[in-house]
Amino acid sequence: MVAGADNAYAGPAISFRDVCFRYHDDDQHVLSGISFDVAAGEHVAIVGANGSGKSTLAKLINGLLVPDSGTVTVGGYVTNDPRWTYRVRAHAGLVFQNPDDQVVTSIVRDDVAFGPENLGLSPAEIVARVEDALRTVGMWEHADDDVATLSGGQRQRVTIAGILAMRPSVLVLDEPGAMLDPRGRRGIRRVSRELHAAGMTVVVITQHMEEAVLADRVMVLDHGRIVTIGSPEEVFTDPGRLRSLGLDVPFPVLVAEALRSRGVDVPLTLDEAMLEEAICRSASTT
Amino acid sequence: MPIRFDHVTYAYPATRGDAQPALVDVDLTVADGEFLGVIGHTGSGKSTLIQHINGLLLPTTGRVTVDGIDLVDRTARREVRRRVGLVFQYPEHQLFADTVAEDVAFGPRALGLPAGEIEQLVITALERVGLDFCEVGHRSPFELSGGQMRRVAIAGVLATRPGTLVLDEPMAGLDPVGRGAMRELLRTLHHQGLTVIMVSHDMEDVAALADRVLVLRNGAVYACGTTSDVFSHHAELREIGLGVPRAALFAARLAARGVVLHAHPLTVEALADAIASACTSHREVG
Amino acid sequence: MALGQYHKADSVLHRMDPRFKLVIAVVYMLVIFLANDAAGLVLVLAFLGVAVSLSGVPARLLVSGLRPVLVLVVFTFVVNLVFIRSGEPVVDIGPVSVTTGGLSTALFMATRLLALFVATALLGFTTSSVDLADGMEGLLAPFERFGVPAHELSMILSIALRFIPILTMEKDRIMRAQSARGADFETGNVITRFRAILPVLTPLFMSAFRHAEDLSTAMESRCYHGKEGRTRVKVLRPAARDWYAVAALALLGAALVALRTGAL
Repeated sequence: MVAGADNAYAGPAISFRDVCFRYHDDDQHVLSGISFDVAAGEHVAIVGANGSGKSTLAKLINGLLVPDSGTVTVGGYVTNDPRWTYRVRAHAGLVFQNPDDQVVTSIVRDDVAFGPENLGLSPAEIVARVEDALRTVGMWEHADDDVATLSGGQRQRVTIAGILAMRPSVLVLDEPGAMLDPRGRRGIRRVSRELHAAGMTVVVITQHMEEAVLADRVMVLDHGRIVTIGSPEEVFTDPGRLRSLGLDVPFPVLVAEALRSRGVDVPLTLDEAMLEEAICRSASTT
Repeated sequence: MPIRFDHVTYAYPATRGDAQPALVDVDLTVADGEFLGVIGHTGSGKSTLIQHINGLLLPTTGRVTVDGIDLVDRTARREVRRRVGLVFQYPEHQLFADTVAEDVAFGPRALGLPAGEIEQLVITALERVGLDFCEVGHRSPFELSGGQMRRVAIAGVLATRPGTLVLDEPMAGLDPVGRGAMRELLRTLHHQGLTVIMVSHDMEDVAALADRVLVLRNGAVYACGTTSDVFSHHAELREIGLGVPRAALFAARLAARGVVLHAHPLTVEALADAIASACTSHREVG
Repeated sequence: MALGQYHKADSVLHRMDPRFKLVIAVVYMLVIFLANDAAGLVLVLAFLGVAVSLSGVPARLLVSGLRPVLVLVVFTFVVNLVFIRSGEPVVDIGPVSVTTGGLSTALFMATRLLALFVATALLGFTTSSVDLADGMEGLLAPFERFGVPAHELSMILSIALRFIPILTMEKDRIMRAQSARGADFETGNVITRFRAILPVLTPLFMSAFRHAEDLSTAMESRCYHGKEGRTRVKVLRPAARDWYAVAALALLGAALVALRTGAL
C-alpha cells in the first residue's frame, strides 16, 4: 500500500483558519470565514449546492489557490509560502471530475510517471512508484495500454494512480464520479475506501449521498460559508434543512419523513436496518 | 404509431466483420404520448438506438419508421428531424451562436420553417423551459449558468415543435436542485402531450417518470414492459449489471421480514403510502 | 494514415530509438528519389520490405491503413501513363497512346509515392505518441542553446496527439447534435458548406479551451513547472539495432548513387 509522507508531523492533516477567498477583487467572496481541521487518517465528505465554494476549497487545500486572508496549513506546511508550493501539492493530491482533462500522455504508465518526473526523482524510484500506484488502484495489467481505450472509471483510476505516485498523505477528490456511470463510481469508492483503510486522509467533495454517508464527518457549505460539520447521522437527518441547502436527502430519511407525515412513527435515521425494524414493529402492533 | 423498429440490426462501419454488432434484431414500437425509459449497461446500444430514431444512423438490416415514414428516404428525414427532437448528453456543449435567440432559432431555420413564425417559436420554446425571452434572448449563451445553458439547448430542440422528444442522460452532471427541475420539466412536457424517450443510468429517474421501460443488453432487447413490471425482476436486472429503484428493494426486504405491501412501489411516495396502509390496516383489524 | 494509428507490438522497429527512426524515415524518403532505374527501385522496395517484416504490423492492417492514399497513387500512375509520350508506343486505348516512356515513368512515380506513404505509415504504426514526442525532444535538444524550446515543443506535440482522438470524437458528437436540429453538412456549394461549419467550429473551440484550462490546472496540481528539475523515466539510448539501421540506409544510398553514376 502507499505510505504517507512526512509522518513526523503530529498535527492535523489539514487546517483552515479564517480563510477568505475571491477570484477577482471586485467579485463577491467565494469563501468566507472558513475554519476547520481534518485529523490525519480521517475521511471527510464536503457537500454543498453548485456555487457553494466546494471546488475552490479543494484547490485551496493543495495550494493551487492561496487565501486572500487567513491561513491554510497542510501537513504542517503553510500553503502561501512559496518555499513549500511543491511540497504541499505532492502532500495533498487533488483528483478532478473529468479523467480526460487530467491525463497528460497517451500511455498509462507514462502518465502515472508524470508527477514523480516533475518531482525530479530518479528513474529507478519512479518505475517502482508507478508499479506500486497502478497495483493499488488495480490497473497494473493495463500499464502499457493507450488511455483512450479505457472506460471512464478505469481512466479515473489511472488519474488516482498518478496522484498516488507522488506519495501524498492526503487525497482530495473533487466529485470524482460525476462523469462516470454507476459501475465506475463504485470502483472509485472502493479505491478510496481501501486507501483510507491503509491510513490515507481522504477528503471527498460529492453530490452523491451514498458517498457522503460513508464518511467519518460531513462538512456542509452554503454560499461560501460552513453551515455545519458533524457525523453523517447528525447532518443528514434534517430533511427540511438539507432541501433548503440544495442537497439531496438520503433515501432512508426520505422514507422516514414520508411515513411520519402519514402518521407512522419511525425515527429519522440513516440506518436502513433500524428503519426496517421500526416499520415491522409498527406493522405488527395492533 | 410514431416510432417503429422492425428487426433492426446495426454494425458500425469500422467494426463490420469482426466485432459484435451494436444493435441486434431490435423490435420496438413506441406509442403516441408515452414516456419510454431506456436502460442498459454502458455499451449496450442505447446511444446507437436513439440515433436511429431520427436517421442519424441507418439500420444495416431492418427498418425504422417514424409516423409511417421510412428513414431511408433522405428528403423525408428532414421532416422527421422536425418531428423528433433529439437532445444529446451535455447538450450545452453544442451552443454556438452570438445570442440565445439565434441559437434557439437555428433548428427552425435549418429545417426551413417559415421565417415569419420563427421569432414566436423561439419565444414559446424558451418559455417552455422556464426562460424569459426578454431576459436572456439577446445575451450570449456562454454568459449563462450551466443549468440555464442546458435549458437553452433543450429549447433549441423544442423550437421546431416536435411531437417526440428523445433525451440521452438529461440529468448528467446536474446537482440535486437541477435534477429536480429537469424532472419537473420532463414531466410537464410529457403532460403537454409529447412522446418522451429517455436514456438513463438512474433508476430513480426512470421509475419516477416512465410509463414503460426498454432494457437493452449487448445490443439486443432484454426486456420491454411497464415500469412496474420491469422493475419487479430484481434478480434478472442485477444479473445484467443494472440497479433497481431503492423503494422496490426496500419493499422486497420488508416482504422478506413478513411485512407484505399491497403494491409494488417504485418511488418513495408510493412506498410510504403502501407501508402506511399496511400499518393502519393492521391497526384496524386489531 | 493518421499518426494516431499506433499498433501495439514488440518488434525491432518498436524497440528502436525514436530519434533514429525519425531521421532514418526522413532520409529514406529523400533517398528514394535517387533511384532512377529498375535495379534502384528494387533496392528501395527491398529495404522497405525488410522494414515491414521487422515492424510487427500485420499485412492486413498496413493495407487498410494505405487505402485512403491508394487513390492518389493510382491517379499518379494513370496521369503519367497517359500524358508522358516518349519511347515506343505499346498499346492504344481509344484516343490515348501508351508508350514505354509513359509506362516506366508512371511505374516510377507511383512506386516512389507508395514507398513514401508506406514509410510514413510504418513510422506511425511503430512509434507511440510518447516516443514520437521524446524523439523530437531528443533531436531538438542540442539546439536549446540557440533558444529552441525543445521541451515545450515536445510537450505541445504530445498533448496535441493525446487530444486528437478526443477532439475528433467531440467534433462528431457536435455534428450529430447539429444534424439532429436540421443542419446539413453534405449538400450545397462550397460557400454554404463553409457556413455550415460554424455551428461545429465554435463549440469545438470552446471545448478545446475548456480542456486546455482544466488540463493545465491538473498539470500544475501534479507539480509541473517546466523542464527545470524534471527527470525522465525513459532515457533514450541507441542500441546495436539502431546503428545497423543507419548502416543499412547508408548502404542503400551508396548503392543507388553507384547505380546512377554507372559504377555498378
